[in-house]
Amino acid sequence: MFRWVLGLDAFVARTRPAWAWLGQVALVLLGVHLAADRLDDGISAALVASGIHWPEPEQPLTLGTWSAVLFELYVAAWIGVAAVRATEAPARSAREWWSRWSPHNVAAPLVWAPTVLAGAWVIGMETEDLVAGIWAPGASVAGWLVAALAVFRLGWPSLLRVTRCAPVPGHRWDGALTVWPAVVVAALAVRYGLPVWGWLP
Amino acid sequence: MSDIRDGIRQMSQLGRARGSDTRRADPGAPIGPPPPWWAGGGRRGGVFDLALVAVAVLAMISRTPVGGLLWYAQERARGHATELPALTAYFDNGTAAPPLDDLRITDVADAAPPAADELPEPFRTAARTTLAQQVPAALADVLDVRGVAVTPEAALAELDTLWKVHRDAPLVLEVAALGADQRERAVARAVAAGEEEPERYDVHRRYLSGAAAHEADRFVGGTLALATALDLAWPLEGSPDITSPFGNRFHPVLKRNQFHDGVDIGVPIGTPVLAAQQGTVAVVGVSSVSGRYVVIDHGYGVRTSYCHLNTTPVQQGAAVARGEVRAVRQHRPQHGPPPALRHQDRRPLGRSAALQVGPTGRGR
Repeated sequence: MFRWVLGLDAFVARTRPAWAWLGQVALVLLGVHLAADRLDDGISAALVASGIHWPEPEQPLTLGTWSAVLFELYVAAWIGVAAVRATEAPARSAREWWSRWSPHNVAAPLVWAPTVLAGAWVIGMETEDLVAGIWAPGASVAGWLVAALAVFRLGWPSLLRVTRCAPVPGHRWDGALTVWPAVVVAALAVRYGLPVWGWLP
Repeated sequence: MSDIRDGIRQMSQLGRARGSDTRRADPGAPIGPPPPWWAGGGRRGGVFDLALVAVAVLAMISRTPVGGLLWYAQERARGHATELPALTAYFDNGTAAPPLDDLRITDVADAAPPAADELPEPFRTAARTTLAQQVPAALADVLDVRGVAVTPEAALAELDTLWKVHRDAPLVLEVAALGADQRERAVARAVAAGEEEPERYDVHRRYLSGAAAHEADRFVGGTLALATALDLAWPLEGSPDITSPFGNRFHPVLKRNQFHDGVDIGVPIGTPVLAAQQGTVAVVGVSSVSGRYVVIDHGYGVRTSYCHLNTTPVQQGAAVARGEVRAVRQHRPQHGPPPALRHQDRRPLGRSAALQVGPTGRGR
């Protein structure tokens, strides 16, 4: 029986390349949404403060929400493109990586890292709530444990991939115009997606 | 652990000082194919990793607009006539009241006024209305454990019991819908994230699981939104004429039938306009259709707009506090409660020639 279970586990492990990327991208997208969820209020406030004369009072607020939706969809697409583009031979040294320098290649790991952490926190929260219904005393520990495992088993390999396998840029300013929404989301992920700010003095 | 060791080794290679790695003179030369996405996964732990991936994917599908679109795409691919999910509903911009068309609001005047130790109005009427639709699962479990039949009346009695303990309506509704433990976790997460108002229900929703957030939206958010809307005061003193009510009408300017999502009130120029409820000034603006206008956010997805004002002596972001308590008569063309004691802010928002008021909640 035990051998049968181990055999199944080994078989599933061999099929990782077929499905692991799904979890890795899902983790990043969870972090992206947690960050983008803070955008709508900011955009609405900026639209109101812009002094534009809106035909209807509700329009800047509605526009703010839809802007955040489109923003998130764009960044999700950018994440997908960044993942697909990370197919070069892995850089084996910092010098080798630096030879591929471009805004896109710099932004990719900077966006990936905080969104992975934010996504792992979301999964940790879901786990905590799930376990609380079964065994309340261990819910918090289970949440943190699963969040940590999500980082190391899903987030870390994908971060290494987008960093080491960065594409050779067609021109030095590759991505200079397209990375900014993702950078904004990364900044929001740092501010709102990491459960550390309330602990800091 | 092999993953971690492998990763540390790879990162140490990346971080090696310039010049220390001179094995490849041409960095662009091929050195072999890129590693698979799952490099160093090992021969064990496949089932565990698959479970982790499943959790991540399911969470992504249930919590993000991208997941909603993917779900919609697969439903359409299977030939199901599924509606496109509301993409804005994934954003935490307020809470949703249940659709008003589906609600029957019990007339406050017909019901006995709540006792001092019962959930007060307008929360009582709002809770009775939402409980008539569905009793939250956590509350139903509590009643089951006590051997009490799960009915809206029994659930309301449970809310009264919670009120005696907590004396805070949003807290009572949250505890009833989610349980005290889940609420405490949400508060702790809000604190950890550095939220400015970690005790607010609106904030907690960000830190609830997908299922809990849905339940909270339906019951807590819906009840609080309804209570806020029911508590809107008449924004004018006296009894001025309603020149055009809420609903379908023949537009006097466009000369066609059009839905009117406000109430037009004819008053002399210079009449002070009062906030219908306490809240925060969300918008102060001018438009060709609405003239000078102010939008006040009362929380829980309920906002009121005041249009065609002569002056707007308030600023965006300003808190509009309640003034003295007065007895006023409310006229609301839809779903409105009868006259009741209302709080009313006496700070003038502006001076109006014609006033347009309407709850404008954003859905989630």
